[in-house]
Amino acid sequence: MVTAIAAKGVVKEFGGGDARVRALDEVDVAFEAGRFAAIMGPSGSGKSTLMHCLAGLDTVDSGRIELYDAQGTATDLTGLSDAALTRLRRARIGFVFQSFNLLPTLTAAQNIRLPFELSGTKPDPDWYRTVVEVLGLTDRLSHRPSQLSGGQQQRVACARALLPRPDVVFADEPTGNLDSHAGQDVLAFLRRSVDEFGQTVVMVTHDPVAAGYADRTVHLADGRIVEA
Amino acid sequence: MRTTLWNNLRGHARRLVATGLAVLFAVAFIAGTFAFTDTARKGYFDTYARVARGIDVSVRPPSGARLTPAQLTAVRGAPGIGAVDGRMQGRLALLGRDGRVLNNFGVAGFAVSADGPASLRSFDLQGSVPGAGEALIDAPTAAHEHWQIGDTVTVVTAGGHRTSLRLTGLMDFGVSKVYSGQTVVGLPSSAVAALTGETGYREIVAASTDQRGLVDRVRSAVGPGARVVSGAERRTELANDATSVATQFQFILVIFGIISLIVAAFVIYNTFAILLTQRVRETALLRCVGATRRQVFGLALAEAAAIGLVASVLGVALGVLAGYGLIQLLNRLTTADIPTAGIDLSPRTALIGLTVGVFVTVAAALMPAVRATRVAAMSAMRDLPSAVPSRRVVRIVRAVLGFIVGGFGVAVTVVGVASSDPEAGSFIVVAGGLFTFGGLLILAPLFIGPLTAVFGVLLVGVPGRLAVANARRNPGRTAVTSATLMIGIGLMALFSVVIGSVQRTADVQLAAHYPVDYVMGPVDLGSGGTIPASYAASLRASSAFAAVGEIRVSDQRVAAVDPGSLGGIAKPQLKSGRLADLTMGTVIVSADHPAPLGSTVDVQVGSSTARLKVVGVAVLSIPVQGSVDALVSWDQFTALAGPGGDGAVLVKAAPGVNPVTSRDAIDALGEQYPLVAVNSVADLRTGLETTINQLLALFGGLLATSVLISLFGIANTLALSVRERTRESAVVRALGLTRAQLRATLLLEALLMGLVGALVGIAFGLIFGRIVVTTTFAAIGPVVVVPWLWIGGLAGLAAVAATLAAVLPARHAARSSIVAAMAET
Repeated sequence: MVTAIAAKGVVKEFGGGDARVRALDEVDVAFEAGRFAAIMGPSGSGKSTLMHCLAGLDTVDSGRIELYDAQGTATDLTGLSDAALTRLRRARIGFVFQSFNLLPTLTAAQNIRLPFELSGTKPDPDWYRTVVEVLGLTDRLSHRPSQLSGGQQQRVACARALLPRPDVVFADEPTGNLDSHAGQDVLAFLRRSVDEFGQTVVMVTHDPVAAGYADRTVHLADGRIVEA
Repeated sequence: MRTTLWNNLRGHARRLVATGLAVLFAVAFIAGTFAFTDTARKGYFDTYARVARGIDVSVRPPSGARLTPAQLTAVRGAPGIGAVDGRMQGRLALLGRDGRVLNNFGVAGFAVSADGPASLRSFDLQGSVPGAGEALIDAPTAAHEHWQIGDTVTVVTAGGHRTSLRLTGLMDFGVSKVYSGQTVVGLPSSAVAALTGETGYREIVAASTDQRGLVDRVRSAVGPGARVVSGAERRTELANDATSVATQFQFILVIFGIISLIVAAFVIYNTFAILLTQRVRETALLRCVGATRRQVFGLALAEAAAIGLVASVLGVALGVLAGYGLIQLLNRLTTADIPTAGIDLSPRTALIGLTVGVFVTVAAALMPAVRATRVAAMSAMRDLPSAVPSRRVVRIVRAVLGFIVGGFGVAVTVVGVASSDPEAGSFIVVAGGLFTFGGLLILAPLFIGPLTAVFGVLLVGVPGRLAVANARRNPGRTAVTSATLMIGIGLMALFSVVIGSVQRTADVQLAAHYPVDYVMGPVDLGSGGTIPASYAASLRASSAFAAVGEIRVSDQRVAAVDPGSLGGIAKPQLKSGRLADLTMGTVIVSADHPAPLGSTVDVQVGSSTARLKVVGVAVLSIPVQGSVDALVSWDQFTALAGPGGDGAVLVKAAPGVNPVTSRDAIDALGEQYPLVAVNSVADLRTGLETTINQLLALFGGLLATSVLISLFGIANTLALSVRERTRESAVVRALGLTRAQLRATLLLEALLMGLVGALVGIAFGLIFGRIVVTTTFAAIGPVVVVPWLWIGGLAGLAAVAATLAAVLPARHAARSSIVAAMAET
């Protein structure tokens, strides 16, 4: 088993004084490369915070976040500067959000290519075509987000996340804003990206049906892993 | 509703700061203007109360006439009259230490009677009253020439006769501007009469022990025609005369204050439009729980009124301080010497400032408030639209309205340009310009977007691309923001073209039509003196000069150039006809009053009139003398007026003679001809250039307030937009946009807004500046120059300032945490 990303002894606290809340309490967890993992737990369990820390969006109070590349070399995200972390996110981490989060001023195609624009590189044209075709977006590329349905928008977000072939794709309640049919489409696609393209996916959800698509489910309660 | 208002104000306090500042500065400008004039007027009044002390009644002749010795005796004989003084005044040249006449722009000084009763003197006397062969000098002149009591000074009569006088004292007129910067010699009445030829009195003043009915008693004593007023009235009149300059200045300031207010109104409008759009959900919620449309409307307006009031109070305070500071500054930088009697805050200043501030704020918030009432309760449930595409109908209405207003403006301008009367023409052109600019402002949301895209091409990289997309997202918002800069920068560009062109035209006119090095004119002693013909003859005898030209002028209406110089160093710009045709019996008329070639006109020179044939039309602007109506041949002039002196003498130095040598040769004659004022063309040119640059700086300074307010507008719009895009910013940060890139995105967006506004303004300024110049100076055929250095500076200033305005919002956006920002809706 090859590890893609791991949290080691991660502690994250919010607030101060009496209002101090320990959102993550010495969390140790590792996610395997080329597998689909789900993080589940009730509201306030710390599952979103864990994802934010893993993805380098939020800082930790103690512990390490290790991201492994194809050669197995680990990078500790907690030691990186904001600029270095930003560059790392561009190339090695993909995101799918609950509320799609596409830029309203850009077309679907421009949204998909945005990470490449940011790093000043070009996507592999064959891979781009494959992703767009698999997601059924070929005839939607010139549309702006406001002209797309929720399901279509989330598929654009998936394409955006997959195109740079990141080490890990994080999906934060990807079906939360979709009807069940569109939600199943997205989950099926995430599954397929793992099976066919060997992508590593970590999904946060509180929906057992969504978690059913994953290879493995990690349960979180009160900031601790309760069942792995 | 009151709690909601209070919570809105408190909750959005930070978002309203920039708007408040915009109102504050506009109000400060207006209040400062009034405070400035009030303070200056009060100061003048206090000073005049001191200067015209002791006078209980004043008698003045009808204009142009003099009071007679008989009338002086009559006043003296009126019942209850104490001390009486008959004040005489005439023009009298005073020679400086260098032997030349002391003059202020070619105008020589005065002689006044100084032997009246001490209690009625209009000046403080240091020394003793002059007797025969003695004189007083005004203190500033004495200080300038380093004269002391006991020195001997020389005065020159209009006839060129010199008289030496011993100084017995100095006169201090305080800040009185009656003799504005000219020399004043105090003499016994008899000496004033002898040296200036004055026979009567300019004013008779008297003290009295019985004030009741005094004016009537004196009036019946001096007889009809004379103007009799009490001492108090006289002091008020004097103070008002002195403050008329301040009043004119106030008028100009108020115009610039109004411009600032208009710009502030744009900023306020934009703030409320954005705030109320962002608050759609809250408004809808209010409607859901039962607020009426009227209540929603009232809430928005009450909020505007509250901001307007707070900002206006602070603005009035700042303005009063600024007005006072302006006087101190003027006194320090210039010789204005405006007396100050402490800060003067009149209720009028406060009232005008508060009313204007609150009114403009509420009026600007009116449209957004009306729009807020249209929010449906349902909207509370929906998502906020992040980009507001304006409806097609609105765009069409806007386009039609814009083209109607703008088209009307263009049509009016065309009428103005075609007008044959340059003065009326320029007024019409200015009116046309206002309408055209109005049309431009209405159309702005339609063309600013595409224009932004055009300039956006220059911006490379992701931040650039995002900036262009963001700037184009709400064209209305961007347009209003840019428009504020368009106003200030456009006016600056227009002024720079007009002022620069006027300077260049004057330069070129002089150089092309009077290619000389020196222009001599007679020192003005009030009666249109001339330079003796022997002066030009003496100059011609010197080898230092290549050419000496003489121009004779009669009553500033008819001129003649000596035959050797006409077409050489004096060649008036011909519109039609030929200079060679100017002989006995012919005339060239001014382009200001053209007549067909071949027609005849009556020309009066002195007391003789001749009927002459028109052989040409030309621009007849004579150096030193100004415009005349007709140019006749030298012989024709002599035939009508007889021999006489010159109105102007033109001198061109010989090739290879350096300026010092030529100047020395001219100065050598100064001793013999004290009443000739020498102007070097080089001096005239640098003098003109200095004046022009001062004017440009003045207008620039006055418009700076409006530009400052525009910058608050830019900062405000961006800050509000950043809030709106909090979530989006977080997304691009998550996807890999660095903090620096996010900052760059916002700075570039501001740069785009500033640059587009400035460039549209500059384009307008350049085009209308050219039209104004060509219309106003149509007769001369003006040279239009574009001061590219200034224009480039303006564009650069706008770009830098706009970018600076975005620094705070950009920092705020880049600092916020990605996770927290994404949690916000």
